[in-house]
This record gives sequence, structure tokens and C-alpha cells, in this order.
Amino acid sequence: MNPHLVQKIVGFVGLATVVPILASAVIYFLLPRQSRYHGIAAVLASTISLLLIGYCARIAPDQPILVSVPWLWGDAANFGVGVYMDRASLFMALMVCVVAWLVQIYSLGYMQDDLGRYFALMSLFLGTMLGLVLAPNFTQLFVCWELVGFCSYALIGHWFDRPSAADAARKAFVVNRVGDAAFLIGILMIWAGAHSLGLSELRSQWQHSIAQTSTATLIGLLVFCGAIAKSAQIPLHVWLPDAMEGPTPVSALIHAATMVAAGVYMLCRVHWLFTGDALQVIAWVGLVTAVFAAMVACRCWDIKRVLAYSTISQLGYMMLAVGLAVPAVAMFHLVTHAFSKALLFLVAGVVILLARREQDLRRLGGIARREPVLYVLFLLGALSLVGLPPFGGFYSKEMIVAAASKTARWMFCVLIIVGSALSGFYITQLSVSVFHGTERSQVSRSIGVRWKLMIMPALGLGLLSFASGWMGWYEVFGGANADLETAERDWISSMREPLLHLTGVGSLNIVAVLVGALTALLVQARGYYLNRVGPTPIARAIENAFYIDQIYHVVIGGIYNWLTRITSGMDALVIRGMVPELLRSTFDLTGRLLRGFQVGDVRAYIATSMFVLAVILWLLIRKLHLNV
Amino acid sequence: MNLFYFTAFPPLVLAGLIFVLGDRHRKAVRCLVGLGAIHCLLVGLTLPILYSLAGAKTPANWKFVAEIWFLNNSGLGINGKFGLDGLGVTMAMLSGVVGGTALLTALLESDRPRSYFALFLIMVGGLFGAFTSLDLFYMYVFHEFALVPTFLLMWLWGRTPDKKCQALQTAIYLNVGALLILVGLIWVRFLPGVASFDVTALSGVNVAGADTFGAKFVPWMLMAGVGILSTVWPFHGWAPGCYMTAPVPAVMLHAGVLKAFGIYGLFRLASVLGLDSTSCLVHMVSWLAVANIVFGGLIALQQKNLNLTFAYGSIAHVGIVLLGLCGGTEMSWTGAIVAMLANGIWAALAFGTVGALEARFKTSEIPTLTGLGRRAPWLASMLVVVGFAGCGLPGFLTFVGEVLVLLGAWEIPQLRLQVIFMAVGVLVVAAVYLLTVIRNTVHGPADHIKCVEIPWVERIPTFILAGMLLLGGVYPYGVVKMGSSFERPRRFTGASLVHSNGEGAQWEKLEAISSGLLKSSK
Repeated sequence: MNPHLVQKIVGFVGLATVVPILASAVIYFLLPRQSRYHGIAAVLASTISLLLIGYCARIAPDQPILVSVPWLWGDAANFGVGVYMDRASLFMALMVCVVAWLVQIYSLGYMQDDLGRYFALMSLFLGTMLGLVLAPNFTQLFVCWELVGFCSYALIGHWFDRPSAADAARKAFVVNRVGDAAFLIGILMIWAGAHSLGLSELRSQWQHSIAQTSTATLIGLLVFCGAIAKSAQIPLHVWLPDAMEGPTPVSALIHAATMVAAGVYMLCRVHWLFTGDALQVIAWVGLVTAVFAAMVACRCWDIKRVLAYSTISQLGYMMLAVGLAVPAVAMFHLVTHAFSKALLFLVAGVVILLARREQDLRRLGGIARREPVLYVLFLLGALSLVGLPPFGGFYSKEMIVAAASKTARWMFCVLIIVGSALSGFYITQLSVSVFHGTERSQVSRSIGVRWKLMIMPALGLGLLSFASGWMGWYEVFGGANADLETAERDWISSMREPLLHLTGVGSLNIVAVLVGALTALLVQARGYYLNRVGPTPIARAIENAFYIDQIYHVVIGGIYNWLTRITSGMDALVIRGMVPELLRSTFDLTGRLLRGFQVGDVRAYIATSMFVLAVILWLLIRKLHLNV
Repeated sequence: MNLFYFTAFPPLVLAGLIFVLGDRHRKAVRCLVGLGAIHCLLVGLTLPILYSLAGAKTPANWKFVAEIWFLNNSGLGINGKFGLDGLGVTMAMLSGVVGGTALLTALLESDRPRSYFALFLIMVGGLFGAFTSLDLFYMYVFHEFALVPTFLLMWLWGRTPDKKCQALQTAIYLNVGALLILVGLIWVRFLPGVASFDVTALSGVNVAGADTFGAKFVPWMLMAGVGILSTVWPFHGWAPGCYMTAPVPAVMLHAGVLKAFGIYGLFRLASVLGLDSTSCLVHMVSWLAVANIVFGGLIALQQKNLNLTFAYGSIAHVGIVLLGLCGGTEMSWTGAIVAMLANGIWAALAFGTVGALEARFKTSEIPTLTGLGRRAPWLASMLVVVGFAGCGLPGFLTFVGEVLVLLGAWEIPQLRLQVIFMAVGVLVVAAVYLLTVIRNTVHGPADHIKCVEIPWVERIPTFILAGMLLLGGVYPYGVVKMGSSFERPRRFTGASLVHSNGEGAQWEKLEAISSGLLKSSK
């Protein structure tokens, strides 16, 4: 490897990570409070990062590059900051930069008059997300993991006057912290067992050191807990639907495309960590989450909540792919999902602005007639999301299905098909309620000059989500397609081959999606949810996500409350009550006792003196006796 | 450079001058206090640089050793020796920074009589003297210089109606602790193997195996005394009342720096008392540390007053330092030292911010302080810094201390359960109560739209403290390198108890997991 090339790449990538963080500091400290330069600075920084990362992704050599400097301790390899670049991390960083750049341009239009800390936090998020993606060791990974969690908190709470937004921000951070605690304990166990935290070094020596011991599964599960929290899997999924309180571009960037994908990315990065048992658990958790979230999405009445549960569901599919030991497929699905979901969120944002902040499905409609471009963009995203060919989502989902059908478990395939049907249902329900039918709420004529700023990025994402299946994303993440010859591959063959080699389960999948879509159309036509008297208990349970949130609030919140009350009570009563009381009464009693000797009774004085004299005489006589 | 005349002497001289000047020259008094504040900040910020640059060392990492002849008394074994090692320079830095900002905060308060400022200068001088002293006796003397003014400040200028009662309670409780420490320190002088009060000679001594009553009893007594002074559970009862009542700069100094003094003493005496991971005292203390962290965080959630919330928060942070001490490895001790620095700055920032809130809004009750994000943006951002630094967000120095303690203590298998509790306590419990504080004060609707603008002069103390937390968090290597250059007691080789049969303990030496930090300077 040419050392100059390495130096150049390392420099550029380091710059790409640091520039957004510097821009964030400049915006926060130097620029005046509400100024359009916030957005310009942020977009400039993300453009620089995008160009640098894009360039490095092109010229990077095949071997990984690892550089770190001491940060937390002298041992830079384990406790330093730096970059670890191989194809997977560079292209993940590229995806993050592309989506972040497009969303920030969109934000210039969306967040026009409403700035606060928004762009500073978005820039900080981009820098720390890149730091996470390019982390060379668990230390930097954990540090950036926490920092993106903080950015998410601050951006969800952007409108912190609203109690619901403030509560949602706190919930997001605390739930993520629960997963992070388990993650940290897993990191500690890796440190103690393997004596190393560097990702590339651990990969090479994992097999010899820990993989054979009994704690390997436990370590894998603890590390997975971090991903459960970050990627909103059951049981720590409760923060993501509430996170929709934040501005829509935040939901698009952070809670659809990048931060929640960080959990999946981390699992793919360290997939050699997991034993077979741990992978089983990961696969089941992912699958159950996928189906559960898809079910709940079918009965959500808020645009962003539907998309949130849809994100949880798709993340479940990615976890399933990790659990099936095909991490390249998980990364592929991550990328196709990122493009399509970000697009859906951006379109939803425009719809919300058009409808004057109305987000309820039951009160929207007819937008397709007003803004056909918007409808086309929505369709691009929706078709990719459910996985219909030739859109990007089809290729990644097809690979997950293929991997699942190779295992002996038919339950996997059944649940995947059920999930696909449900996804067809909810996306069609969303599309029809929002875009078709009669206009049930007032829709603005136009949103002025912001339109171009918001539609251009959406168009970009539309193109990407259409083409992501055959752009070559799978190959850069290390996937090797056995069906295709490695020599002559171009995008046409990438597009065509999976269709020709469609398995039985794969075609069942597509059929299921269409069935789900048809059901949704039927339900809409019959106006089921408009005309019925009231939803059945089951429907209501699904609507409330099986009351998991409420159960947590009552049970965990109740236990925690009880604990705090007991400890405060004990503190007040025993420690701050009894201990000083004990001291005080000791002094008091001693004083009273001693006072008894000083009452002025001469006879008592004489008696005491006689007694003491007698004791002294006795002691003297004893001493004399002994001496004699 | 004579350490004593550079650090401890000037504040005491300034205090004397202020007493001499009297109340008629208010402006001169304030100038002197400002001078004192600048001196403190200068010492706090330049001493680490000078320390890192100083090449020549006396053996065992002690730098700038100086002897003050008129403080010597070789008959009793007292030496007026002053010097620094990594631990000392970190604590001196903490005293300087927190002392300087506390003096600035005192200056910014409305007109106070001269004794108010003089007492603070005595406190700061005492702190510098305590941390630079290499003699146990003078450590204690200077510590008393720093401690006693707190009682006077509480009695005369307390913030609550029951200030006299609180001052009495705090005074008695803390004096019991100081008494235990005094008796303990004098007893240490007479333990087998100890020749004088000199700290530099202590690292070779270890009385843990000795059979005398003193060797067995003194560690427990000292631990009780330190526990009272450093708010270790269950001896923390005096702290909430004290931090509510004492004037803000006094609380900043006390909660920030003075509290760390007890544990600093334990670090100095760790080798003499045999406080490594095998002693059962240390095992019990590690569970007390866990109690600090967990109970402190739980109780803080219940409080309705910001002062009390942060009081319990600082009590919780003591647990981190204590667990680092119990770990006994190089990494955990360094983590504990960095944590002392970080949590001291954090406590000063927290109480300074609450003081500013009280000055503007005349209350520190949480229910009445909502929507600060819109009403007082600067104070709100300080509260957010306090909140996230308190729960160990990376990017702040507090994270560095905590994670080094966790990593270091994990190397000792017997402490792993405690480390798990600490991880949960620091990551989850602390986040819950701190984010609840932010939710209830900073977030939420602002009913009274009156926006309070803090003039830039008043922002300086909190800005310095927050800036140090942030700078230390963004590039911690310098602070870590500085804090880790201490003499590890010769018995502490990361050994862990493997077998213990009737004849005694067998030691197994663990390999160093983390490479030594200062190969060149050792």
C-alpha cells in the first residue's frame, strides 16, 4: 500500500469527521441566534464531508486502514480515537453522508423560521455518526454511540415547550441508556477476556481466545442489548414512536436512516462475536419485532407513527438477517431501507406542512390531485419499502427471504410472509388515506419558495431508492452473489438476475404484499374504520401497541418509584434522623450523668472523695504487696 | 519555585490584609479578593503545565519538593515539606479552578462584609496547603483551615431560616469525623514501620500484616472519619442540609474540593493501611461505594429543591471515586483521581448555577422553575451541561473518570458485581434523575415570558467550569497522563487473592492488562 495514499485517505476521512463537529461549534458559539447562516454553514460542512468521503470511497485500497491516536489512555489501539476504514465502513459512511446532506438541504426549507439549536445539533450528529461508523475500537464506538444518543435527545426535544416533546426526549435517552449499560458491561467482559478492544485485532484473535468459553454467548447477548435499544427492537422499542415529536427531517435522518441503523451496523461489524445461540436469539427478536411492529402500524392514525412502526419492523428484518449469519444482506437492507424510509419521511413532512400540521390519517386526503409530484415520490418510497421489483427494497428483502428459506425453520418464512402482507396493508392504507379520496382538511395552495428546497432532496432520494437494488451496495458490504458470474456484472444483470432466480418463498412474499395491499383497499372502500361503532378490544390493543408502553410505565415506573421512596424514607428516618439523634442523645445523657456529680451536695462530695481515696490506697497496698 | 509560597501562602496573606483593612475600604477589599481569585485560577491552570514540563524529579515522582524550615519539628516527626505528584497536582488544579470561580462568585454577590471574603481566602489557602503538603500533620492542619470557615459562613450568612441549627449540626457531625481522622493520623505515626508524618516515606510501609491492635483498628477508624467527611453512605446525613444552607461559594468549595480531601487522604495512606483489593475493609467499602451511587441517584429523584438534588448527586459521585480507590489497579486509581477532579468541577458548576438561579428567581424549588429554556437560556444551557456531565456523557471529563474506574476495577474479579451495579447506577439511575431535573426545569412551557438576561460578567465563573469539563472531555489524554503519575504503593501490583488457607493469603500476580502509561518518566 502506498503510504502517501494512506496518509491522504486518513487525512481526508479524519477531516470529513471533524469538519461537521467544528461547524456545529461555530454555529452554536459564534453565529447569532436566529440567522440563516446556520443552515448554510451546516450544509457546507456536510457537502465537504460528502465530497471527501465519496472521494476516499473511490480511491480506497482493498486492504483495511487502521489509525488511532491516544485519547483515553496511553494504549491507542484500545483506548484511542481514529479511523478504521474498509469497504464496509467507507460505504456506510458514504450512505450516511448522502442522506444527511439531502436531509439538511431539505431542512433549509422545512425549518426556515424555527432554528434554535437545530443545525448545530444536526452537524454534531453527522460528525459523531461518522465517528461511530469509522470507529477502530469499542471505546470510540461507545463514545460516539452515546453522543448520537444525545443529539437524538436534543433534536427530539427541539420544541421543548411542548410537554409531549420534552417527555419523548427524556424517554428516548433513558431507554437508550438501559441498553447502553448492558452494552458497556459486555465491553468490559470483552476487555477482561480478550485483553483488547480494537475491532480488527479482536476479529483475528476472537476464535482463539474467547469463542470457546462459556461467556461468549453472554458477551454476544450483552452487546446485542445495546443494539436492541439503539435499533428499537422489542422490548426497548418504546422510544421510537414517541420520538416522532421531533421535526420531520430529524425523524428522516436520525430515526429512520442512520442512528437507528447504527445498531444493525454495529452488529454487522462485530458479527464474529456471536455464537450460534446468540444468533438464534437475535434472529427471533428481530422477527418477532418485525411482525409485531407491522401489526401495530396497521392501526396507527398518525402519518409519522405509521412510518415509525414501519421502521421498527424493517429494523427487525435487518436483525433477522444478522441472526441468519448473513450480515452483508443486513447491511444491504439497511441501505435500501434508509433511502426509501428517508424519502417517505420527507414526503410526509411536505404533506404535514401542506395540511397545516395536520397529521391524522383520518382527516387527510386528496393530496395526489394537488401535488402529483409528491404522490409519485411517495410511491417510489412505498414500493421500495414493501419490496416490489425492480425497486431497491425487493432485492434486499429477497435475499433475506432466501437466507431464511435455507434454514430448516419454516416458522421464519411464514412470519416473514405475514410481515410482508402487513407491510403491504399499512403502506397502502397510508397512501390511500393521505393521497386519494376527498380532501378532509384544508390544504394550502402552496408553500412558496421552500418547495424547491424540499422537493429536490426528495427527488434525489427517490432515484436512490429506485436504483439502490442494482447499484452494487450488496457487493461493497462483502456480499458475494453465487448466482452471478463475478466477471461480467453490470447493473442490468444485477437487476434481472434475482428476478429470474426467484424462489418459491420469494414469489409467495410478493403475492403476500399484493394481498395485503388489496385488503387495505377493500377496507378503505368499505370505510370500515370510519363507519363502525367502535374498535374491538383486539383492535384497540393493537392500536396501543399491546399496551407495552403502559405496562412499562406502571410496572417499571412503579417499582422505581417505590425504590426511591423507600431509600428516601430510610435516609430521612434513619440516616438523617437517627444518627444525629444518636449523637445528640449520647452527649445529652453523658452530660446529665456527669451533672449528677456536681449538684452541690457536700456529703456526696465527701463520700466520693473517701471512695476514691480508698481505691487509691488499695491499689498502693497491692503494689507494695507485689513488690515485697 | 517554592510550592508553599506559590500556592498556599498568598491567599492566607490576602486574608490577613483584608482583616487589617477593615470595612471602610470596601473597594480595596474587593480588589484584593479579585487578586486572590486571579491567583487561584493562575495556580490552577499553570501548575499542571509546570508539572508536565518539570523534568528533574526527586525519586518517586515527587516534584517541586520544598521544605519550610519554620514548620519543621523533627522531635515530633513533623516536616514542613511540600511537593506534588500526579494526585497532588490534580487536586491542586481542582482547588485552583474551583477556588478561583468560587471567589469570583462571592465577588459578584451583593455587598458583603470583609470577613466573608477573608473566610473564603482562608479556605482556599487551606486547600492549597492541604493538597501540596507532604506531611500528614500539616495536611490535617490545612484541612482544618479549609473546613472551619464553612461553619462560620453557614452560621452568619446561611441561606435558610434554620441556618443556625444546620450550622451546628454540620459542625458537630464534621468535627466528629475530623476527630476520628486526627486520632487516626496520630496513631498512624506510631504504627510499626512508620517513622514520621512524612508522606514520601510511607509508600514502602505496609502494616496490613502486622499484629498490633493499632494496625487492625486504625484503617477502620480512618475509614469512618473519611466517610463522614466525604459523605460516604451512611455518613452523608449532614450534606443535604449543609449544601442547602451554606452560601453558594462555600458550597462550591465544600462540595467540589473539600469533600475529596478525605479520599485524597486515603490515597496517601493506602499503602500504610494495606488498602488493596484483598482487605475485607476494602470489600465492604466497595459496597458502600455502590450504595452511594445507587441510593444517591434514587433519593435525588425525590427531591423538590435543586440544591438537594445536586447534593445527592454529588454524594452519588463520591461512590465512583471510592470504587476507583478500592480497585487498586493503576487504571482505576487514575480514574478515581480524574473523577475527583471532574466531579469537583461538576459540583461547583451545579451549585454555582443553582446560586445564579436563586439570585434571579428568588427560589430553587423545582415546581416553580419551569420553562427555563425560554426564560433564561444561559442558565438553562448550564443546567443541561450539569445534567449531561453528571450522567457521564462522553465529551465531558466526568465520563473519562467513570469509564477508567469501570475498566480498572473490572480487572479485579472480586469487584465485578460492584462494577456492574456502578455501571447501571451511573448510566441509568443518574440519567433518570438528571433528565427529570432538566425536564422539570429547562423544558416545559414558560408561563411567565419574562426573559432573564444574565450579563456576561456573571457568566464567567460557570463558563470557566463548564469549559474545563468540556475541554477535559474532548481531549482527556493530558489530564489522564498527569493524574496517573503517582507512586503506586509497592504492594499494589494488581495482585488478587486467589487462595486463602489457614496459613495466610497466597498472592497471584495478574499480568498488566493495560500497558504502563509513562514508561519514559518512571
